[in-house]
Amino acid sequence: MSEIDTQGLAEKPRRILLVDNEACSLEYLKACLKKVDCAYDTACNNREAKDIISRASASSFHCIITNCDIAEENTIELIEWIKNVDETLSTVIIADPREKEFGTDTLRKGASDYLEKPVPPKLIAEVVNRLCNLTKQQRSFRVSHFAVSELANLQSNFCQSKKIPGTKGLDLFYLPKHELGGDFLDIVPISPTCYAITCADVSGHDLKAAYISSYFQGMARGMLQKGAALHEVIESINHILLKEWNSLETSQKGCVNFSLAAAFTLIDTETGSAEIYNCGFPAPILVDKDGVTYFWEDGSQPLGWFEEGIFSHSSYLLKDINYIIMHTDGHSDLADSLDIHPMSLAYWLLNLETKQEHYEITSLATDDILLANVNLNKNEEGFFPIFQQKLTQLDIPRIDTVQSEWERSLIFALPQEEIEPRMNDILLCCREITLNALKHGCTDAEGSFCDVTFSYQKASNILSAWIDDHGPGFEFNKQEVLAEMGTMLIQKSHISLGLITVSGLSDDIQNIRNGSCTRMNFKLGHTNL
Amino acid sequence: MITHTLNASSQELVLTFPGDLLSTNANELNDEITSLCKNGESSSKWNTLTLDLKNARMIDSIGLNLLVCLVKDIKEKKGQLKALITSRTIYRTFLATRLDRSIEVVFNER
Repeated sequence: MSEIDTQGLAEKPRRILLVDNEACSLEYLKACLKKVDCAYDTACNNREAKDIISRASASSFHCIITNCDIAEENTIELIEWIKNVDETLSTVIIADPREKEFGTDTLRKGASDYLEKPVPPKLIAEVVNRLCNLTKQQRSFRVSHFAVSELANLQSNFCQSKKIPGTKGLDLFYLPKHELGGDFLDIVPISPTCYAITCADVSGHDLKAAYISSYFQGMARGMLQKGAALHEVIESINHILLKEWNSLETSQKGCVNFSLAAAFTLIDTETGSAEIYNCGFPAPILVDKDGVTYFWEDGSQPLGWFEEGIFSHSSYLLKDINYIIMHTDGHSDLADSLDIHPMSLAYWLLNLETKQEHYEITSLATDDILLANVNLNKNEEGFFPIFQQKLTQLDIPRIDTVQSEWERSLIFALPQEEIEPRMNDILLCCREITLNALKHGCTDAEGSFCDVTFSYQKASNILSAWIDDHGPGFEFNKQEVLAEMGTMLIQKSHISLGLITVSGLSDDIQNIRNGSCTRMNFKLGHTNL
Repeated sequence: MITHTLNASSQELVLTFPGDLLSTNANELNDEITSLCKNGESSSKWNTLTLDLKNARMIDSIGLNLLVCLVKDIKEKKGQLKALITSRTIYRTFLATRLDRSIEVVFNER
């Protein structure tokens, strides 16, 4: 609070500065102010006015009235100077009615009001009263805003400073919609090898949400540190929300119900396992070393909705898992509005150098965004998912649209100079393999689908495309295809043409499970002819 | 829609493609090509067919099939087939499939 001068907020006599370079009109203004309950100082030019304001401090004044001949004094320069010193201090300009343009200019430069001569004493009194109140109000807002900003910094620092010993670390992006938000992430050590990660989203994204968020964050942390089990923490939070915050009595008084969507994850780095209680939170995403994603779908409803029940939980062995990604729904909403895949947005957000970068995009967010990536791999950097989708045979006619979806998400996530030289190669290869998978690997039976995944490894600058139809596969011999590339192709089927094209355009192609799954690698940045 | 120009003095028919040559538009483009090359008023007035693919970024396997059919037709007609390309991906596709041995490729990267 020390950075904000709060003197102007105290209840004390109002103080006005009169700036007038004509003695008789100055006397007139002084006479007018006698009818107003205020003290005043006088200055006969801009220089003297600045001296008085500087010596007494701008915050000791409530209003400045200037009535100078514009031929002699640069009133606009004085207004700009005052706004620079204290933007909350109101100013009123009195000028000749023939100087309307000047009056408009002063308003544009920050004057609070403009009065044309002659100004009756009653009007002076009215304007002074109004502008003094305006100054007080603006100073009050400034103090509140500063306090909120301080809290926002605190909240952001709480989020950003999390470390998880025993893992490579935590990448975090936190962006409240307003200064303060209702999303939070907390990491509590349970033992030297075991950590609880609480990721939560309080309904709303305002001061109230921030307060509720802090309350339950502290409560969960305290209970976990005192040895409570995850289910006990969850039951306690639900109980408090239901019995105290959302009780019938408070609801009848018109209080809005409170709820908390949260994922409580316990990671044991020694056993390589994780346990999760998901209470209405978006499913955490598990990512293997190749960047293939699995959604941790199990869970129950948000806390505060219903009576205590059994909160389901599930466990997962993390042996092949590189990343656990958790995000609040504000992240998915922003991806939707940008018409890109959420993982494309996730990669981009987690790799921003500063939050100010590309502010025009993050400012489109309609909710708080919290995105956390727990990096479990201590050694090699894994592939990070950029795009994932399931396609069925019904998608064959819309392959051009599907291709556009891939393109948008890849362009968004990856540096233009890296992806652009290979974009057409990637799109064509994936189109070929995907159409083959949908036509020959999938059936029209319900549940028959093809997974398309793009993942990226920054260290090697390689983009991997995985196309998996989960079918029986087909005989595909890369060496045979490469040998065919040495022959004329006039007689070849379009499948051969496709495979030869893909082999020629990708840097590496692997066929897994008899070809039902194809992985293609593309070294980004340049193309060799 | 494919646009065409006939240069009577050089007996060259130029077909300008609007964009990519893909599974989703190959049939339609094939009909247009057939109409312009075989049935149109200019059908007997050219000896060289030039495919202007400067607006295309890529050609998939179905699109390649269409080109292969064209190669066969032009061979029967004892004519020449030429392709104007600006996309590196299309050029590499031609090299990988050896289509450059059947079509004279003019590659000028943008």
